[in-house]
Amino acid sequence: MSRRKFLKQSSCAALGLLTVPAFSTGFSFSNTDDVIVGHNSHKYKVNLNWGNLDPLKTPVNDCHEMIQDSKGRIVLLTNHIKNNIIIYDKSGKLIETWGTNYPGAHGLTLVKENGTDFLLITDYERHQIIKTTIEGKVVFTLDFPSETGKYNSKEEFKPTETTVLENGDFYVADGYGKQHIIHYNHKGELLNIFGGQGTKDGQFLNAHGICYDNRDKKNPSLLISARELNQLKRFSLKGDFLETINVPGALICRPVIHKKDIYFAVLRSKNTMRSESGFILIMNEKNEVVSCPGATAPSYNDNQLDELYQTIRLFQHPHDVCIDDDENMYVAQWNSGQTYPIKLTRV
Amino acid sequence: MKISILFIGLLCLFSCAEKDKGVYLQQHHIQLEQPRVSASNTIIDSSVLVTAELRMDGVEIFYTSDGSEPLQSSQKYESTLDINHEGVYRFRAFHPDWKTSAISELKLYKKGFTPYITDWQTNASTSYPGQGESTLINNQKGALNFKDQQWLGFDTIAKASVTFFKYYYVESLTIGYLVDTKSWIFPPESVLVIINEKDTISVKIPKLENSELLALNDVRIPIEKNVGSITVIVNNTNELPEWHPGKGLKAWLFMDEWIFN
Repeated sequence: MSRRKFLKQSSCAALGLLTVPAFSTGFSFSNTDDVIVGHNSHKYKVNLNWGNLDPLKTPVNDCHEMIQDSKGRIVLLTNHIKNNIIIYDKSGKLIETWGTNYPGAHGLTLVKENGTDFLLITDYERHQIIKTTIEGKVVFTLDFPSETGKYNSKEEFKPTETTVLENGDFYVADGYGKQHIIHYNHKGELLNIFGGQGTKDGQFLNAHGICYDNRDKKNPSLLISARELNQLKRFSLKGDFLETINVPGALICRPVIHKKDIYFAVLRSKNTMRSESGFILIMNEKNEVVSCPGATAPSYNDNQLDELYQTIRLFQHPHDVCIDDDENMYVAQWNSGQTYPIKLTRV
Repeated sequence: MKISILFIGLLCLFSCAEKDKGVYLQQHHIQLEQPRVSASNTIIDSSVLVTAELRMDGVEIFYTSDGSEPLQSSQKYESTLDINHEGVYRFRAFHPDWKTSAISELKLYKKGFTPYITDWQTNASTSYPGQGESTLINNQKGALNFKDQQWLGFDTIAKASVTFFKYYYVESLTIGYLVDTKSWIFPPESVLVIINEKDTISVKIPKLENSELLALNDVRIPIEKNVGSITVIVNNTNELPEWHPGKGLKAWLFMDEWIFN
């Protein structure tokens, strides 16, 4: 039984309605017109009304990234400087907002330190990484890594994403800048730099997102998207290139690991006339694509993934996904006409 | 009492169903993406192969070959088409549960006479040299991406004279161009054609509406004369319109082919 049906029957049972079987069969609960997107194990209903707010009071520009904090709240990062951070409950009700000086707010990562939540924000217009408390108080600010010798000026550094290890070390992806991956310890001291612009194994074109993959506890690694190349690249924590996973046709944003699966917002389909051609992509624990809500069903020929592309005009430019503890998904979109996130309810 | 319980039950059931209808998106609100159409070439020598697809269960694609709107009563696309007639081919995807797609259009051209000499009097931008001087007569059309090597890009007037081996009766000259307003690539403003160094034909191209556009387009200029040589002068848009972020500045002109039929 799907979670949705279970919830419906539970609530109706509480009203004693299941004692009237004649009407249960006569008036089906099934809503066959509901859009169901996705494939195989990962299918969703679509709620476009979730999180809609009064744009005069709580506006958004691009909705760039989302996370769920330790209290179960959904935290959205937008580049609207009236309220860079918007915090919702899972039903989409507004809880609070903060942040007025992150004009290039792009990357949002949750950092848990001794039971306390912090955030790492990347701002490509400020050319900085900012660590804040979950309430918005700035803990530290990190400028461009001049000591690496790879940058002539701060303007060359346009960070898009961060990821954090258990020991507090973190990595920054300079996805709109020079495509380097920069490794820092928990104090923000430089440890390593690797990657760079190019199409070789260890290089990137648009290193847009990065995440720490510790699904294999014995061999933790980094997953980094090379969006323009339609590739996901795996590196060791020391910065050695390990493998490339091709996702033909899909301009993948950051990888988001939830339990054993990896979720991606796909900004757009590669070979298409329309820019607003994004979708969602989900990989299983073997890094095989199993579901693409809004796009072609994934299929493999001789172990090569067939080109993926949008099939229904549901998403515009998905930019990030957040999977909550109920397995539902929130989709933040870039350049979508200042719309609020979309909620996908798992069925 | 029983009737009351039944009535309340009915109300609740309807209320559950209606609430769901309100929360979740309905299929008939969402449009299918348009079919992906590709051709082995869009200039027909003997014939070209055309494919159309929208890889999704339950989708059917219908098409027309006369430029009319594809309906479910039109010809059904079943497999690769082998086409030897020029024209406007239009494809559309249908599905019982989803809104019908937009139309994908493919224009196929008949191969024309190939000039013997092409003498360029202005130069293409060094950033967009295409395939060199023969780009516009190599029987290859460009894709929608302006970085495609079949596009010759100008930020000024494009002027060239072409000479044929002998006199041909040329019915028309078709100039293929790209429109990509986001990339400042606009249609030509006008075209002047000088036939056999004496007769001139001038054609003005209508200005674009106030909207973003990405499209392959062409202008067909009637010649209807025996032609030994022809000079073609294509004027780029000199000032971008008010609605464009680059208003007042000149636009790019991107051409992929001149077809002499």
